[in-house]
Amino acid sequence: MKNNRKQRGAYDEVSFRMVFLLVFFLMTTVTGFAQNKTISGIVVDKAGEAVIGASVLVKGTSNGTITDFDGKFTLSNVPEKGIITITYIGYKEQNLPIAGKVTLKVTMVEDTETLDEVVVVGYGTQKKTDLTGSVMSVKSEDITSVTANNPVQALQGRVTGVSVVTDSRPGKSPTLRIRGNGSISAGNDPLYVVDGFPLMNGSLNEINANDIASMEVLKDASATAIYGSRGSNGVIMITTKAGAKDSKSLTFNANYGFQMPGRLVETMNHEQFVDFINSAYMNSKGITIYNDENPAPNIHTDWQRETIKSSSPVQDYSISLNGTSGDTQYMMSGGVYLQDGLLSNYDYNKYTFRTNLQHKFNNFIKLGTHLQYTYSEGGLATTTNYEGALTELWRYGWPTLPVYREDGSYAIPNDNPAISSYFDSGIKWNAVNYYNEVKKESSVSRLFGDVYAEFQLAKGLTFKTNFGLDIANTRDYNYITSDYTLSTGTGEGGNGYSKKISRITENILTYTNTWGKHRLTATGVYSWQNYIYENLSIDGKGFANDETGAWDISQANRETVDYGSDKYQNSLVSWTGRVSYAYNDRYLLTATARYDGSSRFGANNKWGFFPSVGLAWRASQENFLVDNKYITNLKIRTSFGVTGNQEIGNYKSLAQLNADNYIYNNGELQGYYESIGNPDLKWERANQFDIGVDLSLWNRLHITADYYYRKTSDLLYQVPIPSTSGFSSMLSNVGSVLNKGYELSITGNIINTNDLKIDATVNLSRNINKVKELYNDVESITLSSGLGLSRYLKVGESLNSRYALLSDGIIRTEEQLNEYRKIEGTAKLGDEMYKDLDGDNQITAKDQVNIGTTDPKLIYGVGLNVQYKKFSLNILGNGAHDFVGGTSYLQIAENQINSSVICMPSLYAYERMWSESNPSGTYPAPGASNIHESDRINSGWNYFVVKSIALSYDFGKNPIKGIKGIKSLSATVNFQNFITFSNQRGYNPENGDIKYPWVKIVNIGVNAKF
Amino acid sequence: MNMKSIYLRKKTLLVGRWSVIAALFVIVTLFSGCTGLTESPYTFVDPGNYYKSEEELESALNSVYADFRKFASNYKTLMILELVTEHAMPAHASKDGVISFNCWQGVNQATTYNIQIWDSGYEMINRCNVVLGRGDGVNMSDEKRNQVYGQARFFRAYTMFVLLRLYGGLAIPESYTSGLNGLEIPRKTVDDTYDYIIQDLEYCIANLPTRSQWGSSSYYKASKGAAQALLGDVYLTRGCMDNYNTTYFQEAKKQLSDVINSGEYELLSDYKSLWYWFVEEASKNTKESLLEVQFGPTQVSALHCNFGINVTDESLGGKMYHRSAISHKDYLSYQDDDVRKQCFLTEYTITGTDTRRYFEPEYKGFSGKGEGKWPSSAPGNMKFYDRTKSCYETGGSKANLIAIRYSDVLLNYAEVENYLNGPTSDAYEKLNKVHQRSLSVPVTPGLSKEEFDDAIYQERTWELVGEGYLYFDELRTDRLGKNVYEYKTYMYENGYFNCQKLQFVPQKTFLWKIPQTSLDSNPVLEQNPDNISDPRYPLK
Repeated sequence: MKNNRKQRGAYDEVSFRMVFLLVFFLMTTVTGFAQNKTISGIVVDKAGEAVIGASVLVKGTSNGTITDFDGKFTLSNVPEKGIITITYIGYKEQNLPIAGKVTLKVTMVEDTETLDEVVVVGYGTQKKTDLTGSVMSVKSEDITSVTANNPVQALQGRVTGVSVVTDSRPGKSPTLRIRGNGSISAGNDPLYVVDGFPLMNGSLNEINANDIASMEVLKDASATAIYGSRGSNGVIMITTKAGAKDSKSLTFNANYGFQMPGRLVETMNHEQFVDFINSAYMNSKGITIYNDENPAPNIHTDWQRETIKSSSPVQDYSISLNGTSGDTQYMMSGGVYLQDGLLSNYDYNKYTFRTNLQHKFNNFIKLGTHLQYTYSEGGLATTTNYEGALTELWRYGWPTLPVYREDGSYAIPNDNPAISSYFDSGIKWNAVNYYNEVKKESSVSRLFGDVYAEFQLAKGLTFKTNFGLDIANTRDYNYITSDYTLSTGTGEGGNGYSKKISRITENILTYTNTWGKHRLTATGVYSWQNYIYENLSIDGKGFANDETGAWDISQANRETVDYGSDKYQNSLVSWTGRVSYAYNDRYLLTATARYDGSSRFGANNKWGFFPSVGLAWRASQENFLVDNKYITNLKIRTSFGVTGNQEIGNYKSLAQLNADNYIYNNGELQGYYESIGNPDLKWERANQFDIGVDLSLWNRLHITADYYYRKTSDLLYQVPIPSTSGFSSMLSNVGSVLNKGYELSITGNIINTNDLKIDATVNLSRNINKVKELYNDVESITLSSGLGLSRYLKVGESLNSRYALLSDGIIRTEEQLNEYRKIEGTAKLGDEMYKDLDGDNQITAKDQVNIGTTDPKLIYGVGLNVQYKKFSLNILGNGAHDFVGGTSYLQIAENQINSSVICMPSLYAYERMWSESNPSGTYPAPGASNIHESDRINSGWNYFVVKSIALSYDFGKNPIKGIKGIKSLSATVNFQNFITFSNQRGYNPENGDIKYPWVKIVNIGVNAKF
Repeated sequence: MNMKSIYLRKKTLLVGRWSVIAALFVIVTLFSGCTGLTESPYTFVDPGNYYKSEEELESALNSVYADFRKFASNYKTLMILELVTEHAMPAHASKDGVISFNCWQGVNQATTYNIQIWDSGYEMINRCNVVLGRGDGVNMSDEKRNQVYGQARFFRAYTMFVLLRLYGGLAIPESYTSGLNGLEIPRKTVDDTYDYIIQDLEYCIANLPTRSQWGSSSYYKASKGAAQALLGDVYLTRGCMDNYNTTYFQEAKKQLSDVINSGEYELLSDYKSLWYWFVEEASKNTKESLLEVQFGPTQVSALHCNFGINVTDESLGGKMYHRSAISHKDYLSYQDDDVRKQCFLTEYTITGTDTRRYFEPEYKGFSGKGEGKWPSSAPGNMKFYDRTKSCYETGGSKANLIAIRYSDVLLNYAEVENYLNGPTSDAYEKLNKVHQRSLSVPVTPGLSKEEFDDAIYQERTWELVGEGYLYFDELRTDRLGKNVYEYKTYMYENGYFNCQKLQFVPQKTFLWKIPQTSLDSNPVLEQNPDNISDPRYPLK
């Protein structure tokens, strides 16, 4: 009756009479039969603790209540033969017949049935059991288990087929690849979709990890083809938390972490350094640096310690409220993330606010919104040339150099004429100065969200329309003070604005029906999305006053002021459809198609068609398996489809007039020159096949395995054209690249008792990349070639192959020396020998061979969860096996690779350098010559990182006496990145990078839920 | 129950109708006009809708000038062409292969050691062709149009003349490039290429105004005089290369004397007034200049830093590298009272200190040696320097580069006259004009034809070193091999800094290889045959 009255408001005048009649009819019938009574009860969990705020509802009515602080409820006006339904998030729904009872005790059972999970896919959700594609899901507790400024960092080691390379710098995003690189010159980044909004403006930095309910990684064409021209590199769907149904909660998270530099390189002591530098110069130039005439100063500067802070804090606080009030589901949150860097002038702070609302206005209209605002500020002490000041410790950071002069100003090598000539372009080097006196900051103000309306057109038929906006305003600032040792005595810098706007509108028609053994969902989408970028920047030199810096650009010398601005846009229009059909819960079909039009492509190829089909068979539902005790789930999936990649930049198909001005009498003469366009330019096209199996044994061991084959053709490449045309190349669609691979993930519930639970996960991914075709029968393209690491694109080899000389060992004996001198006339003992593969008695780039690729042969992740009573321990590790690393100054120094100055090795390398007193040394001698990058230095890299070791204690419900209403309280100590194994000594164990120290974090967190 | 089912059906219809209407309304309002997929460029213009007014055609011509600046002031070309002669020596950097070029290493290969100017030359030619191809539809007077065409053809001729001397016969595109069809063009013969250049320049002479007709607002433009001077140079070169063919020399003399007799040009009284270092803006577009590459505060040059002395000091202007420098021999060949000797930087005092740095030739180019601790291997060439504060701060020089100078016209005339009639008083007069501007004593009278020719070459060295002329002069007069052989051997044997053993001696017919990438992209292009080291000067 209450129900009816409420509905009435929704109808307009026209139907008033009908409604009146109906209300009358229902009232008479219902009240006529009801014999009502009052019941009361208590709701507890398995441990017997009261469940607060659980919803108790008479089934089929809106007569309901929620449990109080003691888990108790009282419900009046309950029909004698009714059923009450008790629901609470995280627990299975309980339906109990009331018949004959006035008091009830209900024990809630935790909902651990993962197979009935709903998974977010493009333009909708699907039951996990109905999936035909390769989709992996990461839930919120895993996302927040690692402190990182960017939530995608949490995917590292957790999802097969996804490779993540950490960038430790505050505010920087990791590099993420799904199933390898499919493109040479268009992008290889996946598409990120947040609450249905495909980001055109890439970064997820501004999203608060605490707001995320789940991240889904869509890997195969059955899942990604619905994103058509943007699906080729995989899709990551991010879903933020929605208001929980029928309950409310307030969650507070606080994390405080100490960041510390990990993997610092152990260096030589004073005597060792003097010995090294003297032997190196004696060996290479026949002189010594420190001798009686020029004794080594009594200084021992540890440049790493001077430059890198020993610790700095990272803090993360968030508060979040969510629930349902009447017909409104709500979620609102606020977060603060504050991270200081381990180098001066590095930091990243962000403030996030989010509201997700959904209101059921009546039975046929639902309205909702997702809205996020973020303000972030980040600093990176970088200028184009000196981002790598830390890397240059290994070139110039002699421990005999002071950091400061006696008067307190910055010291530079040039201060001491006796040694300054050994520093080449580093004569003004001072790493401490570079980080202190260079500032580069940017602040981002980003509003991001949508408003939608969903219409229930008929039973099973809904229409949803939305409009979304993502607007990011960025303010950049950079300044180098007059104290910068390389400056010309005055400051220089600039500032600028940029604005990125993406607008989207989507219209989704969904039809769902179930009849007999058939289940069908059909979705049709029309969408339009547009992206605009604008910027304006100004910079100048000659600032007399460091106090105002570059904020007051008028302080710069007028003649040096330079400025620029730009604007571009692109649009995408799409028609999309999907049909999912399940017969008897066993035979599953998903077919998708997208027809995409992009402004970026040539007039003759604006539109592209991207179909896919996925099939799955749930064998475990068949009669012969349905009651099998061992095989509790078995699904075989396969899919085939076509996806695209449109990341080529804007206006690449058009002939353009570009500005190229001349000048006369200091006045600019406007000049325009013509470029040629390619009206046939179109998408890169990936044909992808996937076959996979999901298997569960005893319902405790879960195995997922996939094989995929993705061939990307019509690759965008600057193909050379006859240069007598005035142009050297034109962007064209040529060639193809293949990625194929295997993925395996195994999760086991090893022990599952009341007091002790142990789960373990292992996942492995292997990707093989091959160039299948270049253009015009060309078999090889040189990207860079020399005696170092060379890069070629060769048919039959990986895109990321590296070519280098093969090491033949260190020259240890006179016989070896005499022999090798036929190849290298100036060779000395302690140099390295290389294989002269073409037998021309010279070492040239022709002697290089493919030494592997920068993509690991195998990536893997392992996880272990142990829960003992109220303690839990989570350990997560990830690693990669067998890949080629690039060369840093540290490696140049360790191996004395040819460089304009003698570089300083680590203690590790110094102790292993060949010398007469160390005749079995494995590293070239100090000052050795003709050393190049080789398989010895660059190939066969591997690493394993224990990403996190987290120990938590769950205080349970209402742990504090006298304070009620605490649903849960837990505390966690997390050790991140503490244990690393790597066969190189660069700071970053994953790629050898030495631009920024490896960051290990001890993190203390409290999570309270009310 | 019957009632209920009727109601439900009605409800479905109602809901359906209103929702559909609402939805359609939303769709119509939101998406009308949203489906356009044409790209809207903001920062460039579509060439198809351009070239309607004289101004628009001028803007295409301005981009020719801008590209000409890039082509003609390419430091690599200037540097490498001088480095392979005996007039320059490599400095500290190994960058750009300076050491290898200096000793003529690997000159027969088409990749690393090469004059990489082929592609940028053709970019220049195409820009000229755009002006010529797009101009017909523009509404403007024929006279004006012909002047625009004249300028475009002038720069096309200039560029082709440079490429011709480096690579031999050229591929000649018939029009500008607008698509991928017909781009595989074969090379023409050397004679055909000369004829094409000459045809262009004759058109220029017929249609271009003189310098004074252009007036001071347009001194940067190609003029009739510049075309005549260039044509004179073309005929002089063609004559020299064609076994000293006097027919061509006659033509050269005619063109050069037209320039001289036009009264449009004269030598400045002080050689130093040509250079920014000494007189700043007054050095630009003087009466001695027939064609000048323009720079200014917003369009700066980096030439100074490549011919610098490897220091940054406020008194010297912008940051300097040191890649190539005047050879010691050349610097020491100046008489002490020669004004031109003052255009080399041999000493400076570090700003804010009393520390004086100075050049000491006895250290053979090794920097930082001796008392003077000179930071570079040789004196610096001030011709491109800008020592103003803005250059110090921005690193960019505002100094112009003179592409055709009147002293070159006079010296060419003297040379041609000597070829035709021996060292006549006319020839002496032209040579002495240049000589006596900077030196008090005139050229020794009564020289033989050969001696006079050598005197002209000596004068060219003093007058033009570091400006990009000397390689071409030595090649056409068959001096290059001998001079390279003698001086580079001397430098190597005496242990001069970075001077390595000579690997090759060029002959008069020497041609650079076309860069491999350019060949790869055009299958009908034929590579030049391998050069043979001059057998008259056997390498040890």
